[in-house]
Amino acid sequence: MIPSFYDGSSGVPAPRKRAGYFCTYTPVEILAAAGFAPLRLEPPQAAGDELPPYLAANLCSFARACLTGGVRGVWGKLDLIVVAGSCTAMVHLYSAWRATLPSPPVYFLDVPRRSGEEAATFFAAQLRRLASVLGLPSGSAGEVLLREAVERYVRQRILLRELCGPLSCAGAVYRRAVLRAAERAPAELPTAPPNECYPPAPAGPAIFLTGCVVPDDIVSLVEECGLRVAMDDSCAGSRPLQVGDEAAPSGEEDLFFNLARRYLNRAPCPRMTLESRLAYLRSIIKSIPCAGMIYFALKFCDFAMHDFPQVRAVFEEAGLPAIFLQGEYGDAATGQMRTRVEAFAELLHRGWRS
Amino acid sequence: MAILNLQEALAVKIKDGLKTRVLRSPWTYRLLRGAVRHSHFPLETSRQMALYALQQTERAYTGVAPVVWTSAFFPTEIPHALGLTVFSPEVAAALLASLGLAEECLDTAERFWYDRDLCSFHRCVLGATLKGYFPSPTALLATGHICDSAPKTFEAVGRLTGARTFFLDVPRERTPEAEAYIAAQLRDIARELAAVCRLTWHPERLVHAVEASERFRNAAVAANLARVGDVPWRGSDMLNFVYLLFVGQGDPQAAAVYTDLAREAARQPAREKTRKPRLLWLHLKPYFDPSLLNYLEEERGAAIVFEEMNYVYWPSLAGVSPWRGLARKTLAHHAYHTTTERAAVLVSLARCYRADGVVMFAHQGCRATTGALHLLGRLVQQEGLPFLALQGDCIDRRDYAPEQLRTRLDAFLEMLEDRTVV
Ligand code: SF4
Ligand code: SF4
Repeated sequence: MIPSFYDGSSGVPAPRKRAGYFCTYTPVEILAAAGFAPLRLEPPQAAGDELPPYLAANLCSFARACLTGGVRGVWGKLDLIVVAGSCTAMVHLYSAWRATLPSPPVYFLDVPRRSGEEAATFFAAQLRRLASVLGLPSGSAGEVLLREAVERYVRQRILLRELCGPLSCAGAVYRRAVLRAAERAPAELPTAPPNECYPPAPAGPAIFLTGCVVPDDIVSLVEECGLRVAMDDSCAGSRPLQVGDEAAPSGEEDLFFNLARRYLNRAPCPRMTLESRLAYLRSIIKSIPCAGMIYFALKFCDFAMHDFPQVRAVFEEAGLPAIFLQGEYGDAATGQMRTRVEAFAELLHRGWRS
Repeated sequence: MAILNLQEALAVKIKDGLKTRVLRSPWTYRLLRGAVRHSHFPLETSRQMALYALQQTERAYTGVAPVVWTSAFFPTEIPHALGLTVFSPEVAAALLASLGLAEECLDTAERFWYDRDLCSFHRCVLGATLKGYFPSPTALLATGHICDSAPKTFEAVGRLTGARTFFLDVPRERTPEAEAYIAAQLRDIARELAAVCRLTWHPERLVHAVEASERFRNAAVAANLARVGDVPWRGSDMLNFVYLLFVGQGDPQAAAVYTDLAREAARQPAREKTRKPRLLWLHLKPYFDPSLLNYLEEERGAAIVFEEMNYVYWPSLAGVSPWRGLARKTLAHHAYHTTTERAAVLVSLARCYRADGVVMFAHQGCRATTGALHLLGRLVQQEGLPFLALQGDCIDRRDYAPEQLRTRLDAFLEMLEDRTVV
């Protein structure tokens, strides 16, 4: 179910080439400016086992599912793949992808795991190289295209934050569908929130959902247990929207540096430093009223597993109970997990009613 | 085995569990030094290394100089240039496992929500920190290359102990910008580390540390070269030298120990020609159970002719500025890039040491070394080298199945023997 303004009927011509990427630290602005339609590659949860089995069973199942998706051709014809070096699993995916799939070309993008001036300088150099490899013209011609793409995405994120932010009355499953549609048609911007009746969020207590890649199954499960996902802090949720809006005014800051800085300072995922993640979560707890936190880690995602004890402590300091869920990408919402979420929901409901 | 005598002496001192009071007492070190001097060691240099390790441990626990914890592969030239005591918690975790003390640390970490799927080296470090077993750090130096877990563990330790954590972010690709980025971070870390330790940063001391590191490298290259000539050392003993690789680079004393190792290697008679099969060993070993490698090297008579961990992967530091040199070294690790690159290095090592096959002790929590295991195995096998992955854990013995590992080793060795006969 996708809102009508993203039905693809606005007359904007379909972009030419398709560039797939996995990690939301990939600046889509550069892909778009270079004439590609950026496509975030999310393997279907039912993609099944990886073929051939080049990656070990003790590696993150999202990375394994990405390879399966590629082998099975679930994304159709792509002209380019950008693999960001987000973590060890993605670097192994890059190796395995190249060994398995002769086309399309795969581009490796180094993304720092910290923010700050030095990291942004380094990342800006990576982005310049990416732009040049993709054929973005150098000089002012390229700058105009990039500036135009940057501004378009700033506008889009502002609107989407409004539509899909914590105050949205729509359910989280639906909000994800909106975000996916927006990713696929970035040029088709609504000028105002549509007058549609959203499938509403459950009326129960609000929770903060965080972790690494949180599969849709988990979001559905949480909503089925009567909890409202006020903040869907994951790659398929609101995290990619939390890129700062302060795009460089003309001539003031190098565009690549500006983009690099904004991406590295966005809402951090577990691949970034624990310190930055805790600081972000602390700030957000204050601004979004929630009754508790659900933390989901994919099995073998070291970053997410390592962060949990400290993230939990931050929520508990704020008086918010937390639970830790762990699962495989393709089979996340198990019966046992449902029982745990139901028990947690019951706990929150009791507190909420009283 | 000398290490066992040393362990016995240590075990006597810590019978009722590890007491940090014991580790802070000079008497402990006097006793242990005596044990080291009077024990039999497979290599004379192993004795020297044990004495060096004792000295460093004593310094760490008695607070002679500020203690910094460094994660594996962090360029230790920087803390050595400041005269700090370098403590490797990962090596300490291996020691705890060899003393049978890892499990209580693992349990503690798990009680504090550290998941059992995480690398047991780091779970053990976190548990030991929570139990107060390790010397208090003044600062923590973690690098993000090779291991995703290390910076996270160090940041958590920083929160538990109040020590400042420094994180070195290492890009994957070897580009001039990557070098500049690492060099800039190292410069900042050095300056701020000096301030945290209330010391003055003297650039010329880094030059001396880098010179010591270069001597260390030259000695390691010489020792490895001598081993091409078939030095009859056991791979399980050589794996212990990882300690020096992790803590000693930049320390003149460690460079001297490694120089002696190279000399000792040059003096060794060649291995008996009949000893077969010859193996290249990847990653580490189960520290809680020496019997697996004893079985391989003694009972089955196989020879570990080289270990990936002892490979000198980094270029000479001479001729470039110290910061650039350290940045290049950090970027140089062959297992930090593509699996194809790692496989190519392994194949060339196997050829150089005339290995008949490649065995990986696949430590289950290690995404870096085992995550693309099947691809690695295929690439190595394509070059005509049989490959065996032994699934296990270096620290956590709770799911250890030695019989299964032996059976798999036996089958692999038999296959190699058949190939050799043909
Ligand atoms: S979920 Fe974790 S391990 Fe998997 S790709 Fe993301 S950061 Fe990497
Ligand atoms: S074994 Fe692997 S995961 Fe564990 S500390 Fe070493 S590099 Fe990290």
